[in-house]
Amino acid sequence: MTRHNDTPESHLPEAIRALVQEYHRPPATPRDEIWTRIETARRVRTPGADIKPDVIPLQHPLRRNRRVVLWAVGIAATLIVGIGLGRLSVAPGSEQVPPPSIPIASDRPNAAFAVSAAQHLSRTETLLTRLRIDPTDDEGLSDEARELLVSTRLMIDARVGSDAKLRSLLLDLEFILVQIVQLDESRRQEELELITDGLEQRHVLPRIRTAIPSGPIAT
Amino acid sequence: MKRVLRGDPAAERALYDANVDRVYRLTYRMVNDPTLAEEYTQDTFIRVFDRLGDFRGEAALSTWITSIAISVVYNGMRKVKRFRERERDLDAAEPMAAPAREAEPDLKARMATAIDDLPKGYRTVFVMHDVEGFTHEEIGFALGIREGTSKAQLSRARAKLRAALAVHEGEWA
Repeated sequence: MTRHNDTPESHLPEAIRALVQEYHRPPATPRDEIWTRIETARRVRTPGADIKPDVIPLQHPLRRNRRVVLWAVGIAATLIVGIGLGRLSVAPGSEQVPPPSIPIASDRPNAAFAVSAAQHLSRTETLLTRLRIDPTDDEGLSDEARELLVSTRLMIDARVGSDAKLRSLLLDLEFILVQIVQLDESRRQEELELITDGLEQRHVLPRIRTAIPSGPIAT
Repeated sequence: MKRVLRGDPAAERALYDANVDRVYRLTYRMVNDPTLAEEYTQDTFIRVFDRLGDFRGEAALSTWITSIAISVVYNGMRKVKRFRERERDLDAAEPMAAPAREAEPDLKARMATAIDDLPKGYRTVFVMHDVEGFTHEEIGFALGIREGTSKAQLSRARAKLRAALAVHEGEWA
């Protein structure tokens, strides 16, 4: 790869030039992982891309908002059912010793919660990716962030205390979503930069991707 | 390229495959962080596909892509720097234990530190030319500078490195 073809080689000693190749030596390129993210980000930015040309997309803002609200209500309902099942499945006074004879029954609320969490994180990733790629695209941003904020709080309040990583991620998401909801129009650019800085520094998007199980999310 | 502009997914993937290693290697060398390198590589190609229609062939396509990667890395590093400064400001309010004195780093570690400490322009030219093997013509286009400037910056970067590593001269002389 190296083509030292237009500058005298003698300026750095041979031993140093060999060592220079070790400077921040990169690992193998994670080609497929990066490509998947590129495709996702581009789909998010062009939501009509997958729609056949002869189908008129539903662009009316009321329909869009309705879709957002329906999503949020659905996730919130699933969460509430999951949390409720979780609480009902544990008899009073038996929390420290779960009955080992009914593992399937006790797994159900966890499974419901896992599905809800995956859907919630997937939607949040989509919103944050959209914000990061094009901060000027603010159509419905605040509404969607508000709905996600409610779901995030529900999940934090649910029984995720034993999963420190998920709890930490949700707390970071809550903080970011609050910032989005409270965006001050007069300082929008500055605040958006703070949000995207925080996203990068706390590796929020990679952590979300790690938390979402691979494969299609059950509905 | 016409197929990419028409939105042919196979052509897009082929363009990506042909250039991703070069972009990822360069971004990784610049940021030394796998997560950031992946993010910047991702952002680079999103911009490439967005702006491909603007490419006029004034340089090789790979060089044009490199210029976008450099722009993404510079912008990203600016944000990271600002964020770290804010964090440092907060940390400064809390009393900290004096850091333990580290053992004298070896030549490799000292060289990495010396390269990290180069002024941004020098470091970019040095990494592109001496580490990743770009020509001065490619560097000039990617950074928007003249070839002569690239050569001069490389020369100064090497001089600074020699000075920084002088204490280890016995090891490499």
